Amino acid sequence: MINFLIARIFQIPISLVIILCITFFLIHAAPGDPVASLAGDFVTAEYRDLIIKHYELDKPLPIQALIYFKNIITGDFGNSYYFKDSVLNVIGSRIIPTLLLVIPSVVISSSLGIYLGFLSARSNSVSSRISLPVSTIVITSIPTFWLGYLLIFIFSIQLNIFPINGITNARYSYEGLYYYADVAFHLFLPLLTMVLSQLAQVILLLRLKLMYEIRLPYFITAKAKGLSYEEAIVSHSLQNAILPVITVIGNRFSFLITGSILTETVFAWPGLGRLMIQAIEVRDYPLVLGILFILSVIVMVLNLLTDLVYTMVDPRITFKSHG
Amino acid sequence: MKIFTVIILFLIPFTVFAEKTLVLATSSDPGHLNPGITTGYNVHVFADSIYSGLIMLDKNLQPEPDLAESWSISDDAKNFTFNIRKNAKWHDGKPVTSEDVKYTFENVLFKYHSRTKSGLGKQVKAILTPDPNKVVFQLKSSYSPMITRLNVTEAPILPKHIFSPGNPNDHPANLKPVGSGPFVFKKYNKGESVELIKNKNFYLEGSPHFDRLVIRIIPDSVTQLLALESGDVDYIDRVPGSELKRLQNNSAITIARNTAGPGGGNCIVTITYNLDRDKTSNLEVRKAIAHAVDRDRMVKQVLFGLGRVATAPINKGISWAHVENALQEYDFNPQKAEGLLDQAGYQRKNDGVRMDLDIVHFPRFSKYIEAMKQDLAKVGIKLISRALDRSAAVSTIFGKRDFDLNLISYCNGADPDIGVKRMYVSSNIGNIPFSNGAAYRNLLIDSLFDEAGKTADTNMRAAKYKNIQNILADDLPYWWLVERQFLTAHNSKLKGFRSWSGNFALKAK
Repeated sequence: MINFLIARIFQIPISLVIILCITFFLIHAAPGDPVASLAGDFVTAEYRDLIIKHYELDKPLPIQALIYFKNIITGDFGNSYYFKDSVLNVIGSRIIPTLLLVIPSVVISSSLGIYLGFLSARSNSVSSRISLPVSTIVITSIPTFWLGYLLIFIFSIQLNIFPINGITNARYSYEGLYYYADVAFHLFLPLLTMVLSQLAQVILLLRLKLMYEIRLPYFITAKAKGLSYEEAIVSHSLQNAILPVITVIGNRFSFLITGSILTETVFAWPGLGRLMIQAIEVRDYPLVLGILFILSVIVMVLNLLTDLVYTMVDPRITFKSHG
Repeated sequence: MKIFTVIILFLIPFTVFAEKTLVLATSSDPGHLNPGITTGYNVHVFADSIYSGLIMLDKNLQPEPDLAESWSISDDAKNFTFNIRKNAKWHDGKPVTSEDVKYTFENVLFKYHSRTKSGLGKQVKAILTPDPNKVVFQLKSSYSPMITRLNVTEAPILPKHIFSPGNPNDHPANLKPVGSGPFVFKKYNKGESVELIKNKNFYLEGSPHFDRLVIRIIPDSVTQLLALESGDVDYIDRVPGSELKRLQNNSAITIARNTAGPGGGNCIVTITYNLDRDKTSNLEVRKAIAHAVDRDRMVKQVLFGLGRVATAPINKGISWAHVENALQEYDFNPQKAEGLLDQAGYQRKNDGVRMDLDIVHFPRFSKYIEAMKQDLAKVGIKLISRALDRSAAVSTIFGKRDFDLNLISYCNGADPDIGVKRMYVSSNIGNIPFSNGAAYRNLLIDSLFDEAGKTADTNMRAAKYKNIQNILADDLPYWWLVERQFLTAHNSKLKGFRSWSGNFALKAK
C-alpha cells in the first residue's frame, strides 16, 4: 500500500513534465500570436516587433521552452500577457469561484443521485422505475446554457427571487457576513444548473448496476436467509454497485474544474473555465500553461484519491504488485 | 426588488444606501487598466473613466475642453498650444502639469499606443512646456486632424510621477491606476467587475453625478440584456440586433444608436481582395463580386436594419470627407456579374461552378459570410469559408497572406487619416494587424493621403479624399459592404450617457 502510494506520487511530476511539454509546443504551434489582442488595432511593424521582443517570443521555440521550464522549477509561472499580473495571482483569483461551484455541485448531485438511484431500483412502482429515470434523462439532455436560461427565466424573471447573474450585488457592496450571504444567494441558480445537468448520470448508472446485482445468486441467498429486499441491497449490493459510480464522480470533479464554462458564461461567474477560454483566445501562453499545470495537478490528485476510495469500499482491490 | 435583497437591505447599516451607484456591463475583462499602451476596447471601456485627455469629443465628434480648458492654433496649423486647467489634479492630489503631457506622449503614446504612434507620432517634431499649465505641440508640417486625436481614447494623459522611470508595459500602476478623470479606481475583481468611486476633486463642476461606478463583466449578451431589463444593470454597451424589436416596445429601456464607440467608430464591414492571388487580382472578378452581393439584404437580415449600405470607401459618419455616390456604378446586378466573369474567362464548368474562392473571417461575422455564400453561388462562385479566432485570423491574413478574400470590420475613426489611410497606403503592407491586407500599391494614392493629412483647409482636404475615393472605386482593392451602427441601451430613468465616447458616464444622471 505504502509502496503503491509512493510510486503513484512519484508519477505525478513525470506526468506533469510530459503534459507541459506537449501543451507548450501545441499552444505555440497554434496560428497567431498575442500581438493583436495586446496592442489593439492600427499596429505598426516596429510596435509588433517590440511586443514580440518584450515577451521573448522571437527566440527559437526550444530555447523558450527551456527558459519556461527553468522558471517553473523555481516556482515562477511567469506573468500573464493579458492581465499584466503573475499567473498564480490571476489563477488564484479565479479558482475560488470555480471551486465554490464545482465542489457543492458534485457533492449534491452525487449524494442526491445515489439516493434517487437507490430509490428507483428499490421500488417496483411505475413512478420510480420509469418516470424518475425518464425525467432525469430529459433534464440532463437539455444543453447546459439553455437550462441556465430556463432557470433564469423561471426564478429571476417570472418569480423574481434570484439575481440573473454575477457573484455579488454590484449596486451595494456588502461586507463580512452579508458578503457571504450575498455570494450564496448568487450561487443558487448556477449551482442548480450544474446539479441538474449532472444528476442523471449517477442515478442511471447506480440503478443499472443495482438492477444487475439483484439478479445475482448471492442476492437470492441474502433474501433466503431472511433479509428484506431493501436490507439486502443496502448491506450487500450497494457496495458492489457503487464502484463505477465512484469513478464517474471522480472524473466529474476533474472535468468540471474547467468544464463549467457554459454555466460560468451564462451566469457571468468569474471562474477558471472562462479564464481558460479567454487565455487561449488572446494567446496568453504563460496563463494557458499555468492553468493546465494547476488543472493537471488537481486531476492527478483526484485520480489518486479515487483509487484510494476504491480500496476502502472494496477490499478485493489491493495495490499489491502481481507476481 | 428581490426578496432576499430586501432582507439584506434591512440588515445593513443605513449609510451604504446614501450612495448612488451606476452599474454598467461590458463583455470582457480589461486585463489591465492602462489606456496609454493599447487601443483595445476592452481596456478603454474601463480606463477612459479613470483618465482624461486634453480634449473630449462631442456627439458630432467635434472637440470640446477636457484637461485643456482652451487651445490655439498657429496660422500655418503647425503649432498647437494647449492651456491646462489649473484645478486639474491627479487622484493622489498632485497637480496635472504640462510635464505629464510631454512625458505621456513621448514615453508612452508614441511608443505603445498604436493609433497615436502611427498617426500623430510621425507628425510631432517637439513638445514644449513653457510653463506647468501650457504645452505646445510643434509639428513637422500642418496636420488638420491633430485636435480630434487628443481625446482620452486616442491620447489619455498619464501621471509622470507614477510611471517614470520604467517601462509602462510592466508597471504596477497598470493594475492600480492613478488618473485625473471623473472616477477614482477602487478595485478590480477579475472576471467580475471593476469598482470606481467618484472623484470629489474633479475639475468639471457638477460631474460626475454618481458616487460609485461599477462596470460589470458579463460575457453573454443575452444575460447582459436580461440584467438590464431586471434593473440589475443600468447601461449595456452592446445590444444584439435580434433583440431590438422586443426592446423597442419596452419603455423602461432607452436605446442609443451611434456610429462611434470607444476604441473606434465609423466602421465599414469590408471584403479584402488578395491582390497577390491570380483570381482576385483580376479587376473583372472583383467587379463581378461587387455586383453579385446583395448588400440591401445584408442590412436587413444580418444587421436587422442597424446600418446602411456603404456608398463610399469613407464612412458617412465622416460627413465632410464622404462621397455619397462613389460606388454608384456597382449596383446589385447578378447578370452583369455573370457577364464580367465570362469576360474574365471563368466559364461555368459542368457542375455550374466557375471558381472556388477562400474567405477568412472571425467567427462572429459568419452571418455575413452565409449571405455572401448564397449570393455568390448564384453567379457560379463557390465560397469556401474559414472561420478563425481573432489571433489566428490576423496571422493568416496579415502574416501568411493565405486567403483569396477576407471579411473584416474596418473602423475609420474620427478622421480619415486615423482609420482610412492605413488600409490603402503601400507603406502599410506587411505583417501588421489590420493594415493594407489587399497589398494595394498605388503611388498616386500614397501621395494623395500624405497631402490630405498635411492640408489644413477642410474643403481642400475633402477634395483630396474625394479624388482618393474615386480612384479606389475604379481600382476596387476592397469591396465595402455595409456601415455598422453601435447600439447601447440604458435604463430610461437615467440620461446623459456619452455613449459615443470612452468616458460615457461623465455626465450621466
